[in-house]
Amino acid sequence: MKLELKNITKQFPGVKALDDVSLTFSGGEVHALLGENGAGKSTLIKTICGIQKSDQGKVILNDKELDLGSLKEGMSYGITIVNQEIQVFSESSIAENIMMDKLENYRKSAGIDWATLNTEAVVYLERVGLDLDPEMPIGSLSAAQKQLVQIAKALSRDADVILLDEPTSSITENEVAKLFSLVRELRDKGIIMIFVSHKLEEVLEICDVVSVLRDGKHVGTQPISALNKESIVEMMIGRKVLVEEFDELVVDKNDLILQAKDVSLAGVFEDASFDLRRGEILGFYGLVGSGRTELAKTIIGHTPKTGGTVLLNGKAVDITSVSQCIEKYSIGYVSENRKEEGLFLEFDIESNITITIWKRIANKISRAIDMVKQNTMAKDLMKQLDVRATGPSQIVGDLSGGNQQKISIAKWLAADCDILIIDEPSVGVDVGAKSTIHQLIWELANKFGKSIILISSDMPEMISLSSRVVVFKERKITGVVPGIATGNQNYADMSREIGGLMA
Amino acid sequence: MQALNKHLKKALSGGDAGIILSALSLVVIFAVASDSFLTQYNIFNLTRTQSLYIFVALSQAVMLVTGNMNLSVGAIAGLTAVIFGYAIEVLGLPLPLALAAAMTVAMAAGWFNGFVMTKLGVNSFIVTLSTLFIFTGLVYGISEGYSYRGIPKDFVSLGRGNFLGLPYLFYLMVATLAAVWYMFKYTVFGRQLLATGSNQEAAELSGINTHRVIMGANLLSAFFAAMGGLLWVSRLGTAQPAIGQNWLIISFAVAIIGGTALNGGKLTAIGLFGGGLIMVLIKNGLILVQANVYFEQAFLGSIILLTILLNRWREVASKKGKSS
Amino acid sequence: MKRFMKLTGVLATSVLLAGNAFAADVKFAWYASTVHPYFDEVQTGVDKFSEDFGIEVTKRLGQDWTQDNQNENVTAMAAQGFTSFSIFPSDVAGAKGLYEELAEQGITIVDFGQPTQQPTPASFFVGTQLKRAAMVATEELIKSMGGKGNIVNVLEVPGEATRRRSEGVEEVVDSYPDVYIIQTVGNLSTIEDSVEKVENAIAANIGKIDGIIATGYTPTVAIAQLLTEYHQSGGKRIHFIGIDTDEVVMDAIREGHIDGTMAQNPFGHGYIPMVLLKHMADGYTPIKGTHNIDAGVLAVTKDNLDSYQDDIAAMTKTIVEELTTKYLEKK
Repeated sequence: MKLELKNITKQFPGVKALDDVSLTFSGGEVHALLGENGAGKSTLIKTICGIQKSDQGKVILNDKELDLGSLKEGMSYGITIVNQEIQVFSESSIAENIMMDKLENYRKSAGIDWATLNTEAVVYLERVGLDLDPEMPIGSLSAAQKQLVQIAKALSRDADVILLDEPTSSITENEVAKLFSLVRELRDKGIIMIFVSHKLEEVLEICDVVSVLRDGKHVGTQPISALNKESIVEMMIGRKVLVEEFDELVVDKNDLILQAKDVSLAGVFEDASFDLRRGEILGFYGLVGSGRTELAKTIIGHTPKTGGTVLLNGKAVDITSVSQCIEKYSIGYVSENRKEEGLFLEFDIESNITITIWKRIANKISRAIDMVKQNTMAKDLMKQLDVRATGPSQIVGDLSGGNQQKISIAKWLAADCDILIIDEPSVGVDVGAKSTIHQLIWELANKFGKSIILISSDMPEMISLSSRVVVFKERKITGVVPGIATGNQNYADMSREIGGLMA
Repeated sequence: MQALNKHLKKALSGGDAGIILSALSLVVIFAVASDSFLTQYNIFNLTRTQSLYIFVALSQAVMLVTGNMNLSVGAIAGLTAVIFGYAIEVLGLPLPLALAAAMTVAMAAGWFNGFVMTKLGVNSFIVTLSTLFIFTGLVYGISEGYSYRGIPKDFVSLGRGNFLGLPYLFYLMVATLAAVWYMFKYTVFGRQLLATGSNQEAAELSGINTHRVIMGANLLSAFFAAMGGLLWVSRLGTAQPAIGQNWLIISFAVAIIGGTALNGGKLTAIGLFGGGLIMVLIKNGLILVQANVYFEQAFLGSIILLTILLNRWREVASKKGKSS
Repeated sequence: MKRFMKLTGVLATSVLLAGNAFAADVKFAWYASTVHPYFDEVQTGVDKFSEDFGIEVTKRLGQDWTQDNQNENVTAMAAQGFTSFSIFPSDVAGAKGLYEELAEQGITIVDFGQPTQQPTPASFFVGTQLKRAAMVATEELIKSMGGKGNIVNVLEVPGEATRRRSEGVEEVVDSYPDVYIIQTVGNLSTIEDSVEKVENAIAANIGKIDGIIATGYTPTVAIAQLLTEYHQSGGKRIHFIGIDTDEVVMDAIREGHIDGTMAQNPFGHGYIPMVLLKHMADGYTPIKGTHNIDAGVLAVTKDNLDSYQDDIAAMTKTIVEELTTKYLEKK
């Protein structure tokens, strides 16, 4: 099995996305494709699976030149892709989503043979470790679960080439382990596996070969044995980068800014209790669906609690709406799902950044927003976060994933809340941007005195930033692990202790 | 000066330019095809009807922007006209009081729509479909099909008078569109309307009270419908219960030709102006060229579809130019 | 109106005296599609019949203009034992099915307003002879125009009635060598549409129109208001004859902005069918070859604004007197 790309070039108005790229992917290997945002990865992927045609160059599969004009054509050659952006048919059942392109195979005289379809769908679900009813509508699943369903779908296609585009961006360690054993299984069958990811630890764990793109050019291919994290990063950005280490945050363990006591949301979770100390970064760690995001959304009033107490600075509060939460209680929530919940893709950057505080920068009488203020605020924050864009009036939908993520965070910086709950801040974000975001989160606590709850499934990120980590398992909090600065010796110990609470 | 240029450029960007261009080309075509097109009388006629259409379109557009719709706009207009007529002819109220009474009833209707949509969580299509019947029933229940005469001359002159050759209604329309443009570009409420329509979930999580916003949209929609109804009374000279009967198609067609997105988050004042103009030009033009009366619906529908397709093509073409 | 009433009272007495007592189990019904000012006027005729003859008539109105709705309501009434119906058919073709069902039960039917298509179980049709009405209207218009000029022909919704009216207009115009129809505007059902399209037509032919003819209710109301505005703001005189006597139209005639309108005889549409039904219940049968009874139209202008109703009353009187000779016979 061999997939060759020869001299692929693709030009867009104003930018050369791919410049004479030649690569070979072999069967029986997990081949990583890495590069910063804008390096050309997504263009290359689209070329491979048929969504886009290159201006020059050839795609050759097993010595046969392919002329692909569509995704479907690609699929007919056995090339299939698991997308980064979660695209599902929300009203349809899980089974239907998985088998969507094969529905004709299940046709009976009176319609679709749901019984067989559902049974076969369950097989794929189990392979990705999801124990769900195949007839459930997919819209009710969390982002992470949806992603696993995507993977199940790809598995059902019996492919020769499988492209995995950020497959673990929304799932946590245990899931990842299952997925990786799946990947190895497929590799051992001789299938060509192409793995695109920003998570270098995972790349080091699962991949056999690494190819790096930079500025549209292929800068090198090396076996994994010859590489470590630093050298990969060096290939990607062309310079060395320091490993992240943050100083200890000064926190008084008796100064509690937020307390949750036995907070419940009927039918979802019960009796959740935790304390947030002023100025700390509190990590929330757990599996997909373990309740972290649900708890956060309850605290901020999006799905108001049905039981328990929440105390702010020692006083009981009743938070019933998000707007009240922001204005009165100064608690903000940065959603994990920026495209569906965090951003307005048709609006410009400055509108997106200031949306939470329009009322504050509006003239009291005319209710007209002070556009100058809006523009200045946006410019400042864009600079602070190093957002790559043409200016505050650029439409957010045109930005790259990493820059979009920065905007979704900038929005909450503008709101200037005392407490900030940040849900999966570096999903789909490249190395350079990730480091900026981490630095920022730490500064928010250290320099600006904010108190932060950090929800993350990225263990290194969690451990390097958190003062303490609250561990969630199956909608319950199983314990709190002290951070490196406050008790644990190192990464390994801490991660072991967290793992222990997950068992 | 630079700021003005930038604004002008932005205002005429992309989709809007296309709509205005289509309108202008229609003007040229008809001016050439018929010598009665550019007469004083016809221009007055066109701009006045356009102005009325704009109010109809606005009543629908403000709802579309939030990702909802209002099927009862015509019925609200009819109800406003009938209450106004009733107040003048039967109750003998003075003009300002009659207007206030009519407006109040209209706003109550809008409030009702908003209440069921937000607090009771019923889909806007279903709510307003039901209120369409309810309000129409009220219209005929109160009027029994008869129209109200005796409309004060001062009020009628609003709909019939002109200034510098253009109808008073035209100036009213321009002022209204300007206010609408301002609202959506600069005010908190207007921006929140757009955000709610663009992504309701994200709007909620950004601290916007979307229920209040949608209620506001309903009130605004009823307001424009009421204005349209009253202006029709002024123009006709009598309060006819049948006012608003054929508003449904027009409200959607003009709004959509004018670039209002069906799934929310987008509305341009200039686009609406162009949309109203195009609608009026097509209808006027068909009569001008003596098109077969029986095929008129087919012509109208085809031209509307063509205009929308042209706009879509331009949108897609401009998107392809951007890198992926 | 008062004189009108007196005439029918006298009429009724004479008919009563002329006829025999009828069987006690005959029940009279009147049905029309739904709320409309026209039906209000028709009902005045039905009520007067009840008053003059001392016979109770049960009147019902439906909920909408569909034939389905009419079928539901009327069959319900038939089940309640009504034997003689005066009906306005919602759909001139579709109503026949309903009539056939009724006829099978031995029920007598008279159409009013618009006729069901032949062959029909209805014994008679009482209404306005549309083509003739249109022709009279066109003659009036051409007269006011001085025998020559350009006309715009305004039509309502396409259908049988509109077609007949249009034929009438065109035939009369053909007979005048100096009169031309320069534009036809059609498919007008709502007031706003009518206003818009006619205004467009005026604009399209500005300076060249001498007259407008409208043979539908809604367009007439619209044009009356349009021309009032047009003439008030100094536009060149456009003559106009419409149809029906909505108050708005009468105002316009009174103020001199339009030339006139055709008054139909809705009172007669209500009165005459009931008399027919009564006669048939008494044993009269239709004379072979008769079916349509024209209740008559009258041109109303400034000159006879106040007296036209009397004239129409006289028309009704004549028709009722002739019923048992021209249309009915006793074997």
